[in-house]
Amino acid sequence: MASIARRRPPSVPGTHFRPGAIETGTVAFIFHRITGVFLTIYLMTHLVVIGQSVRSKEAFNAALHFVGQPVFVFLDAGLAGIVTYHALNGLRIVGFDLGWGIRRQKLLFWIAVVLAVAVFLASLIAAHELL
Amino acid sequence: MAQVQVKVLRYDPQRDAEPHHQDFTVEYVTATTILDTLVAIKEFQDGSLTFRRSCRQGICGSCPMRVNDRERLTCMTRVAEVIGDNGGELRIEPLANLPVLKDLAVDLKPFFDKYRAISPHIIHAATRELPEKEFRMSDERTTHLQQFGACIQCGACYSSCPIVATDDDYLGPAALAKAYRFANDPRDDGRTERLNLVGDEAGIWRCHTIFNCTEVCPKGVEPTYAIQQLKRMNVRKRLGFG
Amino acid sequence: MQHDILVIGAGLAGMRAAVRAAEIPKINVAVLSKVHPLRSHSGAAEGGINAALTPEDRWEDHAFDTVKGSDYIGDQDAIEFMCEEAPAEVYWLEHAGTLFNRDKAGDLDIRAFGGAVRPRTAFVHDITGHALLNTLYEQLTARGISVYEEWFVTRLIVEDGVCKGVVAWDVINGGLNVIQAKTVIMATGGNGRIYHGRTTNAWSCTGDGMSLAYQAGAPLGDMEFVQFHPTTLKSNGVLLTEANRGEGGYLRNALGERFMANYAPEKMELGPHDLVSRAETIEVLEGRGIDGCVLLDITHLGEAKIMHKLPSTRELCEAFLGIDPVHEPVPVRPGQHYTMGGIRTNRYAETEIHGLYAAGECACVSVHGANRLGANSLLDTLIFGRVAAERAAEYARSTAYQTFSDSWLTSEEERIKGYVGRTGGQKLATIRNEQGIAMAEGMGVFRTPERMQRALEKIKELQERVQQAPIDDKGAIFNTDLLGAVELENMLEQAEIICLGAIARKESRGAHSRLDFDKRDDENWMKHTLAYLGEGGPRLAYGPVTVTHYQPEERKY
Repeated sequence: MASIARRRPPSVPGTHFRPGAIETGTVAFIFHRITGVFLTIYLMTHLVVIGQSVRSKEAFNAALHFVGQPVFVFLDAGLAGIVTYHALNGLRIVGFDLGWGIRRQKLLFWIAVVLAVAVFLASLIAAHELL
Repeated sequence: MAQVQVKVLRYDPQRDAEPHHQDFTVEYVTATTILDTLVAIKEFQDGSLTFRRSCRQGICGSCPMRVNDRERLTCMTRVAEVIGDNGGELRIEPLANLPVLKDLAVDLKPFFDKYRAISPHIIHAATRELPEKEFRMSDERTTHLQQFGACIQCGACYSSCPIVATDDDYLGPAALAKAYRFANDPRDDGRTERLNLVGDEAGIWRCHTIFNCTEVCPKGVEPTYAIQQLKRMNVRKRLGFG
Repeated sequence: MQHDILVIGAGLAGMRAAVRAAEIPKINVAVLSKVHPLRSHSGAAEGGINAALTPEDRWEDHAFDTVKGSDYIGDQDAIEFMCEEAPAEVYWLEHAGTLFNRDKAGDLDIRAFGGAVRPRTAFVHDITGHALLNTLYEQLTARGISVYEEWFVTRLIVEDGVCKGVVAWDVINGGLNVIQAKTVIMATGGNGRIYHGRTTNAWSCTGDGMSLAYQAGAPLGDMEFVQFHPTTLKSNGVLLTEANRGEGGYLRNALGERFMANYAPEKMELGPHDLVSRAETIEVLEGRGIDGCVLLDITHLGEAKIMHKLPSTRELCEAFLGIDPVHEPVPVRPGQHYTMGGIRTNRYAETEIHGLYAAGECACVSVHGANRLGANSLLDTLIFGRVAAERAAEYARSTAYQTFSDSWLTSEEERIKGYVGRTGGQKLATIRNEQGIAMAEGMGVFRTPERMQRALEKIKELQERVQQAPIDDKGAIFNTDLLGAVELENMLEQAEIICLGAIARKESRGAHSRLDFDKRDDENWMKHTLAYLGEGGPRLAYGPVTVTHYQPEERKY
């Protein structure tokens, strides 16, 4: 039989993260990426705010006043939680690279999540009179 | 006998531009496996349904597929396990990250190319003297390596890895686990060569410890574990600790 | 495409042959396999590989155990050769990286297996076949040996008793091709799927190589000797390794008795396969079975030992029965497992056709005679795979490529195209199922003349009916429907030969047990059955057994 011309066969479309079957490790990875993005945005914002001090006393005070609004207290509590998660998950990953904790990866993820939520709530409570 | 609605992703290269789902109804009991349903469809409903299978006991690696989005060895997975008591849908699709040849059969050449890329065999240095009988090797070391030697090269891990999905060059979990198995075998003299092979951009450093491979491996190989150990071994080698 | 040596089949025998051939200078070797090499059924072997490795053992004892196990129609020159070479072959595997289990001192751990006077089985917990298959594939890869992956040979090209090549189907891309070869080594494995679900064998075990050689004029030997393994699962035929018993497991009947005391008082559960299968069948027939099964009991071995030496047994029981063998006995029954018969060769893997060799389960050397000892098959495949390559290389060096007519290809194309047009009959699956039922009933552990005759008649009827079985898949690409039809016809051909051989052999020997002639008859039947392709069907002939040192004795365990 003559050989049959074929189009290049398709791959199954990129369900990279398999929406129907997401597991703990994937969630940890996605959270780490998202918290990383948030932290980067925060860092840039923070530099802009603090950087106002180079301009003038008034500009700096205005900036601090702006970020003293209640909504920012909420965002700051969130930030504390995000930092906690990103740091603890970061340690979890560094542990893996050193050969530690690989077989306890799900437990370590949940510890990071629980502590991040705890820090978020504690921050809200501690700052409640500012809200 | 209960019935299950099976949605199978079909693709006929001679007729279809894209893969598409086709519905079948199949009877099943508690013991019925996913592979059993595919066989039932092929034998009595549509003989053109194409898929690979051989041993039906989880050792040959022919039959992994995506079942409701998750990689499974279809001969060892029961229908009841997947659809639960509510009798949901059963969707069967081929492995991801590999070109589809026809229906549920994929082209494993890229997978095996990466297997070959890590020199998957014992390397003896010219200076190594082969004993008359067996090399002596501890029971502990053997048991440890047997876990990684248990790999049946089915491709489930490769299909589940999001890094493989986004990077054609990434060696993938199975090849890296195999590299670890050799790098830790006292009878092998290729350790340095292998660590160099896996220690580059397309190797161990692409692993972000997402753990999908470990979750889906039907033989408990834990490729993530192997890859992290390779990272550690690689760093130690570069820092001079051997 | 042309090769000095073309190996058909990429299991242990095929890959061992290719690896050996690649070491021989100026020999070009290629492998052809209908499944990826790592999918070969050699990978499902579980228990271990025999060799006289310990100081207290001798290869001569291994040889005697094998001869006795074969019920005295194994060819003793081949058996002695195999047993003498065995230790070196095991060390070769170990040096190549096989992860054999170790004892506390770090040396190869040895376990007991059926029919052996002392333990001599090296193993990789209960996935020895998988481990060896991987070692061989690693060696194949290291040497860059090319593989025609997922190709299927439809015809051997043999003219005037000389093998010249093959017509092979590229299943994935479609289309038949001719491959010229100075020598062909057949290593296509067994044909257990003739028994359909009542076998430990994979779907791929359809004995195609045996049919190819038979159609080309080589005789098939001893096809009636079909081994039933005592511990298979009733639901799907899956094997639970003999190692379960080798590590100390028991077989119990419904009354909880270790019934093997009545059949093999000395070896008990470690009698040879045929004896234990018969014992189980009798227990069930006499009402001491449970739902057609007996019980395999490893509960007393303890979880630690089971996880170290028999972990996949546990996995299989849990997956297919929902039973944890650590805590509960497992119901098992005899199932087809191995074919002692196959392409007749001498001890150099040579067939009657020049340039055609055979090794492994598809061959009948014969090292297993009327019954194979457990853990001897992994050994057989490697020893004779290697020998086949050495012999084939020698022959290839002294011969040129042979030409042949284009009509081989065109007539095969016509023949295969003819399948796709079939219509009007029952489905292939129906015919396959009926074949399995007929063989399980007529060609089982115990045979009677009436049941054997019924099986033969049913097989012949199915050979007619399959001619009308429609094929749904009319496409050229990866047509597994068509492949199934070709395999089924090959199986029906072999099934007929099994039936004829069994009906003709008026004695009981090894795995061939008949109720009307229930004793071994050395005077008339110590010979090999040979089946040749004749006018209108198989023609039976008989050939002598090679005896060197061991005269037949009563076979008691």
